[in-house]
Amino acid sequence: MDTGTETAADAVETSLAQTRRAFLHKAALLGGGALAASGAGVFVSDVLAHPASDIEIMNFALTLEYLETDFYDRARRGEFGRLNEGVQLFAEVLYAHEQAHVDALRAMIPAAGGRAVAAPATKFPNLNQRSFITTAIALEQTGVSAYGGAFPLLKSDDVKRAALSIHSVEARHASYARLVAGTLPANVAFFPALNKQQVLERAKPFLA
Amino acid sequence: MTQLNYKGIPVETDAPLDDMVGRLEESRAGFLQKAAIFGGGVAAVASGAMAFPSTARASKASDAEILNFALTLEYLEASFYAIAVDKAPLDNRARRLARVIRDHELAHVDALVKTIRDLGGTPIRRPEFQFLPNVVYANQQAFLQTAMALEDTGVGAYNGAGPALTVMAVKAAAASIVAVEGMHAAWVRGVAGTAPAPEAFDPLLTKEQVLAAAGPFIA
Repeated sequence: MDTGTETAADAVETSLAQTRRAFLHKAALLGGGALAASGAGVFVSDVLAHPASDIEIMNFALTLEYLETDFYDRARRGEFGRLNEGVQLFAEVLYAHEQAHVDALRAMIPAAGGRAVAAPATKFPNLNQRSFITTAIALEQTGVSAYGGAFPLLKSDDVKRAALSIHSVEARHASYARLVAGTLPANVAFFPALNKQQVLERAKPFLA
Repeated sequence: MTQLNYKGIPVETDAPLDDMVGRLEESRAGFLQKAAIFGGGVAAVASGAMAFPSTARASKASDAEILNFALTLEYLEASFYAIAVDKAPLDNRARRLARVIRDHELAHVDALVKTIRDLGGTPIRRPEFQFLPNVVYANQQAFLQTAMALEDTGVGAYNGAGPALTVMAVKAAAASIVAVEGMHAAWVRGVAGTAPAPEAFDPLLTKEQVLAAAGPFIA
């Protein structure tokens, strides 16, 4: 970079911005961080750039819920190998919840004048009980961050209420998955938000 | 209905996954340091949103009022866990839970105080709370039952307040905090041996419902 034309203040600004971007990237990779970093700051500029409609947001959430439903359905049917009693129950409970979220969104989207997207084709790597649980943690944390990032964008009070009601259940799931994995169930004081692009990057490996 | 058994949940260990947690803490510490350089974390974000053209003065005031209500709950939770860490006869697993959640609730208190000020409001002072030892922390089960009630109420309170929030950064902050309250609720439930996520949808509580649940603790 040619710094010759920059004033000292410019150089400081540039370096701070780079540090901040690097941090945000790191926080996102780690799936956590502090409120200000991944939450509102990113998000407010995102709102101005991409005003998404409630229907678009609900369809995006629906895609994630389809993905989660399919994931737990495969798990509970034994596709990832035999699960012990506690893990089997975890898969059954989360399957039922994610399916209920799918049903709710599929009912709300047409009620709001939209058309619900179809379930995506999915693919999951060869998983065993252990990697099933770690993948569940990743998926649930992505879900929490997706709803957390989308909530401030929502316009209709009915949609906000539904999103809030689902969002905290996804957070419970994330903690439940971490409990099952035997790791610290609540590892951050502020849960990070992700924008649509960041969520897609995390979901992409599972979309066929 | 099937009898659900949550006893299959293992006790948390410092397993490999905790490496991830450790890295996360490092990055968070690094961020907080940087946030100071940037002139404040939540504060900076909130003031950024205040520059948002559509934000009216009245909405800032109403958001501050809602956050003051949330602040009451966060003070209640933080006080409860602080006393429990100090006085409740807890095993190692429950003690770790109490310590970690206490620290989270204290962080929420700080964040809400700063955000309320940024909104032009006056943060309430820490209320006096009364915790009856026999009911609340005489033994581990009493502690867990109270913790469960407080966390489930906290989730329902933030959820219920959410649709009324108007300032973009406040909505983002509330979402960030309620998710952590949901994680706490599931954790407490798991340690208590009950369903961490009992329903597919969490309720949205009204202010009256929250007061009915939390009121007995507020002196």
